[in-house]
Amino acid sequence: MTRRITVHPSAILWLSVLGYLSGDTLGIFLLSALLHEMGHALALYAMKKPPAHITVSFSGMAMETPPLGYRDELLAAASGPAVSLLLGLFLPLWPKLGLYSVILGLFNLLPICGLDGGRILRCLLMLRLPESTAERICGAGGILTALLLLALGGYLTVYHDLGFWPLALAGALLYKALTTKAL
Amino acid sequence: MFWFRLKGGSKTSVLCRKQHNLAPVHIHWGEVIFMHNVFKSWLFFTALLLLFLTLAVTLPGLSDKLFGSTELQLDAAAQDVNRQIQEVWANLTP
Repeated sequence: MTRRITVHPSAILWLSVLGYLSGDTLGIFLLSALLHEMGHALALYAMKKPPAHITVSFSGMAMETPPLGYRDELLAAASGPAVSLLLGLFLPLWPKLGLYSVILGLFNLLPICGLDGGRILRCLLMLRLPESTAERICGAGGILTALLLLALGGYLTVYHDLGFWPLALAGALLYKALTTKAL
Repeated sequence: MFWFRLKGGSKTSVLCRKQHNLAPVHIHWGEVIFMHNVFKSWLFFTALLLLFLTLAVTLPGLSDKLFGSTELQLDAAAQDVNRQIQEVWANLTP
């Protein structure tokens, strides 16, 4: 039987965040991320194109899927943020889970290559424009968004006492936007 | 050994490509670094985990530098949103 889930060694680094953040915050964040990924998986199962292989690492879950058309890919990409935003309904019952999920959903909707938003934008453009034009728009849009985020990250770090993580995250996204040529 | 992913999703090594005279493929330096075997090793990441935890314990100020008051601000925001929802709900119900 082929192995369907691989845990990359880098996944254990999430434990190190326990030393810096409380276990409560980390636990709720991981639950929110798991539900987000399950949204993607459910959409793929609903389309009868289940992921052939899942890799869990520090940067999240990567799903290897059978070939998808742009419409199917768009649905699969949008289902994760949709689940996260729906979890916002939990705000009155479990405020932390609701808030973290909404933040995660909005973050993933950013139009940067590698994030769900970048994939959604790319699929939408591919359905209407020639491939090369769509790729160019996505690439430029991703870099521009990442640069704006870098400025926002700097602002949050300096003026809102959020530490260095917003700046580091924005830097990582800019790197991703600059190096990802195709999704 | 450096590995990189080909378009079809299969993997081959730089050495293998040289042996078989295959055309060179442009590899970004980031990919080369992150595909090195050490980055697939449990031992490496366990050592890194222990290093991070040791730093977290021995340098308490590091946590503030990395995360500032993020947790407190998120907690306050969650409570605030919750309070506003309760208020709206209370106004809606007779």
